[in-house]
Amino acid sequence: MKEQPIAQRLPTRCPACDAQLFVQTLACSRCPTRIEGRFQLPVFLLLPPAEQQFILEFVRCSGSLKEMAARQELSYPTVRNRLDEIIEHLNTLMQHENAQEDR
Amino acid sequence: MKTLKKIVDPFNYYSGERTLAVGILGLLAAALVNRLGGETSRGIVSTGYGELSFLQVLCQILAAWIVLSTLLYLAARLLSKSRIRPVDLYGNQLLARIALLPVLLLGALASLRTAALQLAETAPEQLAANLPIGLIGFGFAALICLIWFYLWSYRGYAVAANLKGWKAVVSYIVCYLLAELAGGWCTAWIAQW
Repeated sequence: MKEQPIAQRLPTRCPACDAQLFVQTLACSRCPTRIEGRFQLPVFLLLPPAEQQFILEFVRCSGSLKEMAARQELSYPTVRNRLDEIIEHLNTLMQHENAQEDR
Repeated sequence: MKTLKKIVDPFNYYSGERTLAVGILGLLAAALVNRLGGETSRGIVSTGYGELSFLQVLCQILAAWIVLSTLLYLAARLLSKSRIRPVDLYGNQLLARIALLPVLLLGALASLRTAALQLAETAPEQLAANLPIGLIGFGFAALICLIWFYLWSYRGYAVAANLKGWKAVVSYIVCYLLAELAGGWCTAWIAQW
């Protein structure tokens, strides 16, 4: 039986102390080049997968909440409330990031 | 499972023009039942008996809906950070009123009406002995419909206003109590036309 490839999720928090993870090494997909450093993850990638999916869907709907609601078979306020929650989450993450940069 | 979810909490799935359209049908049906059954509104959910014209009973239900919805809309504008569409809040509140329709239908039944009117004339000390079974059943059904109405009305407000927790609960209760006072006054005034 052929094993199905597992879609690995990008970990963003440390499993030991729950601190935010950063990228230390980047590798070329063709040659053995490796770049080492301390790269911050983009804010979008720090969101949970469900929220990332919501934003992708929202962009694909040209930012129309009405269309998004119709596609997801949900009411307009339910979709708008979800978007407001994500905006709040993004603001918190960005504030946290700015505070880290200031340190 | 999804059907059950839609019945328990329809506002996650329907809103705006759709709830408003269904609500208007419910409103017209309620006014017709009230007119045929000789029922009148006395506040947001209370009903009584009296002979009013179709226009009067329709205006009473409209007043009860508009008073509660307007107070909830003002509270939502004050407390919520989200952009609230009035059509969602007013539509959701109108749809919630459909939960009261079975009570109006039962109350309009002639036998229940007679029993209720007789009971109103019974002395309090004789009340326990003379309580008809049908009226007890009606009371039970009315209680279920009332709970259903409050559940839908609250959820309709919370979803449309994007409010959660104590903020949503307390503001709903305050608005409802104020609406009962203002609605009672409005319906009494309409009955005098």
